[in-house]
Amino acid sequence: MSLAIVTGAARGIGQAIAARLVESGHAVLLVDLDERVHHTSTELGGHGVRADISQPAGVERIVDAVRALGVEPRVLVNNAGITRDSLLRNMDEDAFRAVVRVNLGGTYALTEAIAPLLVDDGAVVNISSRAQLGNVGQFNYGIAKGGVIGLTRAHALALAPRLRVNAVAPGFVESEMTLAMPTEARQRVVDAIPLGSPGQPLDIAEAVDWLASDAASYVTGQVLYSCGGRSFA
Amino acid sequence: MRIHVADAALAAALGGLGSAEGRPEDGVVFGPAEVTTWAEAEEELIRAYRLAHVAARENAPVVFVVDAAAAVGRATPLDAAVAVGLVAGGRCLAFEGLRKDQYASVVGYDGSEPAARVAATVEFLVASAVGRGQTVMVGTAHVGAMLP
Ligand SMILES: NC(=O)c1ccc[n+]([C@@H]2O[C@H](COP(=O)([O-])OP(=O)(O)OC[C@H]3O[C@@H](n4cnc5c(N)ncnc54)[C@H](O)[C@@H]3O)[C@@H](O)[C@H]2O)c1
Repeated sequence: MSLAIVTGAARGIGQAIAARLVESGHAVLLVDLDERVHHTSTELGGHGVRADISQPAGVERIVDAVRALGVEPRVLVNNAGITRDSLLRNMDEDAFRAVVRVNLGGTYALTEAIAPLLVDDGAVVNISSRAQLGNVGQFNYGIAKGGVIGLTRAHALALAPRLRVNAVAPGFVESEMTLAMPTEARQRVVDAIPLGSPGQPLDIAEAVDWLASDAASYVTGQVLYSCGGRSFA
Repeated sequence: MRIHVADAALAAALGGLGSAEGRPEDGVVFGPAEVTTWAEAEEELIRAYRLAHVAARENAPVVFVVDAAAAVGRATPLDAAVAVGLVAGGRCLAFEGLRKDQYASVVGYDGSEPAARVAATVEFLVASAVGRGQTVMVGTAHVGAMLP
């Protein structure tokens, strides 16, 4: 058995990814800032660690937890993320810094820390967003998630041929993150999706599971848009 | 216009548009420095935010100029993160700008290109307001590489 590490796994897309990787036969380490991570990991039969990926101490904690499990780490999924939306003209520096630090800085730091521990032929999957193609009110998030694609490509080149590094860019997916949106804005977003409905966390989990698996052994440095066709519509 | 471009030759060539002391309220051309640590990467992105934030309040144009290699991921992870982040930031700002006619785009350039040619591209984009939210590549080194 090999280990998959999934960040932001207490709920939402991360929880679905962790569940899917358990089904695929991985031992899973669920990482989250939220203490619910312990409940979720018990439910899924995984292991949980509470840690902040945007802090060096949090990254160290995750590395320690991986080492303590004594299972060969094969997969890292950088899923933890936050939003703090507003038009750039109204956006304060804290909102910019926080979003960039968690989504991009956390992904960078954890990949640098975990990649050397992954077994040969291991895989990293980063969660970007369709929003990096441009969204009103998401200058901070767009930069962070575009930056994740820059990391994905550069890490793919730097870590090849030993490891593969890919990204999934979800469109609008039903989770606590998006349920917080006002109903009218939500409906406008859903109306613009060619497949006609919001994505579910499992849709993203399936894409991640595939990229992490041997079935995708010739795929690296790529971005898989799982967004109901919204990336070009 | 405020020209904050780490590449000194390019900054000088952009003299027709503005200077390092120019007003960001009149527009911004931002080109990040190469970085070696996360703290430096974050600082470059915050510089971009501060300048673009002021420009956005005045509906003034914003052009990010980035290393073309980094913009397609052929760089260190941190340089690629900054460059591709700005590519995405240019797109987000262009979307926001549609309502108020604020212009935003990105120029990717090879170090082998004459600075005057890169500067002329930036000047053309600002003057014509074409290519909103797009990344215009100057140079031939990355022809065929898929843009993120
Ligand atoms: N929901 C969508 O429509 C959507 C679309 C595109 C991309 N995404 C991305 O997918 C990922 C998961 O999103 P979600 O919708 O499940 O969001 P969510 O808010 O429901 O879950 C995110 C999880 O990340 C955790 N987290 C946040 N900051 C952290 C930190 N510093 N350290 C550790 N854990 C942290 C949170 O506690 C939470 O459990 C995010 O990266 C998000 O940006 C979501």
